[in-house]
Amino acid sequence: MQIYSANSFTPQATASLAVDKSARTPEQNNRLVVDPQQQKAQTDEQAKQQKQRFDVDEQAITQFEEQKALTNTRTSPQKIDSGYDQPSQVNLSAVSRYQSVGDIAQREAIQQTFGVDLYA
Amino acid sequence: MSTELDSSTSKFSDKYRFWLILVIALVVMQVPVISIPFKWFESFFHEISHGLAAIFTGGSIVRIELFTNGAGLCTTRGGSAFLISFSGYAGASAWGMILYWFSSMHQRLAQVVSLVIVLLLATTLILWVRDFLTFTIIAILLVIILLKFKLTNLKYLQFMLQIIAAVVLLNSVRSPLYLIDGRELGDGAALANMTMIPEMIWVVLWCILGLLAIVSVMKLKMKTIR
Repeated sequence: MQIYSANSFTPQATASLAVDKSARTPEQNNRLVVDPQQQKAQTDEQAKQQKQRFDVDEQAITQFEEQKALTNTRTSPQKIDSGYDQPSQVNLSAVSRYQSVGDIAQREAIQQTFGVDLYA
Repeated sequence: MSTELDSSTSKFSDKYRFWLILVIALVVMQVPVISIPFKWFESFFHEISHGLAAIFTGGSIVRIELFTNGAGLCTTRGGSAFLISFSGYAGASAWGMILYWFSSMHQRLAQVVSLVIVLLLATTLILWVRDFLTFTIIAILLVIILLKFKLTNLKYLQFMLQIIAAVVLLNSVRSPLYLIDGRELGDGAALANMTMIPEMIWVVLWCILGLLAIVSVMKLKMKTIR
């Protein structure tokens, strides 16, 4: 039913959380104060480590990309010029016409080989 | 008095029935989707005429191909090349004439004619079809004819056959004109190569044969009315 949509449900959830906070004991509150400090220290350390690791990764990636670019230029220099080597439309149609002539010749050869006649 | 009036009315409708069917066939040929199976029928009768001419002159049919645009191809081995080439368009005219005659004579004869077409289509499907497209086209034609057997009133079967025959007849006059394209391809060019008689003469001859077939059907109808 529409009554149980997200909009109508969320305020109830927040209200229940507020009630829980007020009902905490002093011991629990202390624990809560200590825990964030420890967590912050841990998070900072993790971030430092990640940053160090990221620096290493970044160097590796840069090296890898440089190597890749070098390999590309060595192995396939024609790839760069492929746009200029594209045959024109006239040439393409000439090739297709040449191929169709080849097909007709092939068809005639088949007719002669198998001794059959074609009637359209 | 009323019976005399009835008989004169039926004579009048019989007299103009052929023209009415020709007009319906002309309209059907112009309708984009509806005209397609009729084109296939015409193409089938054209190709099977090539094939039958090959068989009757001592050759054989290797394969028959039909295409969606109404074109067709008959591959034969042996037989008289002249008669095989000539029989395509001439055969289509003959098929149209025979179909119309027999389907108009009697309603039971219309059933027999349908059965003959079914047998011809089935034989082609089994013996001479080698590709999926032709298989599909001939299967559709077969289903169309078989569905007509379902018609409880034989008048409708007769009418449908007459429409098919009229379309085949009209196409047998029109189709040879497609050969006038300056490409020297097709049956007309083949006959011209064989006989040294120009392609145009063959085209005109086929058109005249088609017209003669229509006139003969019309005359026969007139005779039966009298």
